[in-house]
Amino acid sequence: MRSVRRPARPPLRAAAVLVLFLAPLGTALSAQEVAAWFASSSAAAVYAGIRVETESLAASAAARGVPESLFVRRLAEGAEKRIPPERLASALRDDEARFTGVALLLRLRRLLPPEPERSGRLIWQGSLLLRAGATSPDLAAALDAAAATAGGAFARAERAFDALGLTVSLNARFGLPSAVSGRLAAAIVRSPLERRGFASLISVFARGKASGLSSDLVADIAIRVLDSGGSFEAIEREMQRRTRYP
Amino acid sequence: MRKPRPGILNRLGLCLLAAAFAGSAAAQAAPAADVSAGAPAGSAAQAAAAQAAAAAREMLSRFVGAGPEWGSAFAQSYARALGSAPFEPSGLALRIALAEASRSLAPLPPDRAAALALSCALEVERDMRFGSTPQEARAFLRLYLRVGGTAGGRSFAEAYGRDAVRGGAVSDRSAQWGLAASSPMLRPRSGNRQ
Repeated sequence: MRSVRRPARPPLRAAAVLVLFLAPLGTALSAQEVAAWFASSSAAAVYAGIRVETESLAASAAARGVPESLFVRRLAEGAEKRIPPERLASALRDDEARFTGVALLLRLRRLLPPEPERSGRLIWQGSLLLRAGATSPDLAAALDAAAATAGGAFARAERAFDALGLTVSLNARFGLPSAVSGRLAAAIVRSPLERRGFASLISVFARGKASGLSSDLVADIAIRVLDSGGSFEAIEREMQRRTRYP
Repeated sequence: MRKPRPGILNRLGLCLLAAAFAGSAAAQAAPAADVSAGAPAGSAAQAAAAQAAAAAREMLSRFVGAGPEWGSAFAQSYARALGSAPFEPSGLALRIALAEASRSLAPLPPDRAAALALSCALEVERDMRFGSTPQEARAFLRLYLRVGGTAGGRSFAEAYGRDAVRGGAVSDRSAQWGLAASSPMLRPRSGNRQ
């Protein structure tokens, strides 16, 4: 008997069928950590009304590279502070926007590490910076500078966020002009300075202000000196020169 | 890092922007050929410029009260800022950025508005180069504007234009809008300055 050969199933079709079946499974899996929190936390009953929305936010963010653990962390934080469910839901919506925004900024510069633990740390740090007053253009400027340097994605992004964290502190203490924060953070990122020494710039600024220089001028000097490869000592020397010969 | 390359679309876009701002006092029905004066006569670019001019005019009509000085200062600042950008965003990215960010740009001084517009256009361009459609890039830009500036209830005018007020002096643009230095929108956040 002649065997009838069945036409070969196109591999693309098979893949499509597989994706069709796996996609909902992936979404369900991606909301697992949040679901686990609701299943195990003693405070979960209070927040039962926002469970569906929270799981949906976490799943949608996870699809853009945001680890679910960040939502669990915020849920636990909110529950510990006894935040009313509606307020927590509203905060989580803002969080979702911030987490997703930071993840996208990192991803577009190839600075988002594939490991959820590392990407989560970066996204959390970037989100905190936004909450502390950094603008998205500041974040973009610092990450642009990091993307142009050599090294591992995680270390470069961490350096950018540390530098921006420093400018946020400087702004809180000395009031930087808005256009300067991102430029200063970028100059710090590009400089040969060690990350652990970044905070010394705060005392440099304090001394500059004590000498009667404006924040704008100190920031301008810092950017120019750092961009030309100078150190904090060079910034101090330039500030002294400006104080003597204004 | 790639050096910025002068792109014809962008140069045209800037000419159009400047012209559209400058022409806002004049009739809205200004002939499109006027604003595409930079393009070679009879070229395909001229037709494209005419189309873009109409789009730019429609877009800029969202800038309530944008005066000619503000418009030309904006265009000059944008061109200057482009010099230090990592790359040059396309005309499409700039148009998307202006359309989406117009409300955030309007209350800012021209140089801040230009820096923000460029930052937005760079993100849109980057997202599209990464494979997103213009619609997806636009959605990303909305997120970009939402998360960075409005955090803690601040508007971009507060977050990005906080130095618009210096020693009680209000920027020309803010004065045009009748915003006093005491306006909460322009007041620096408490503890910001020593």
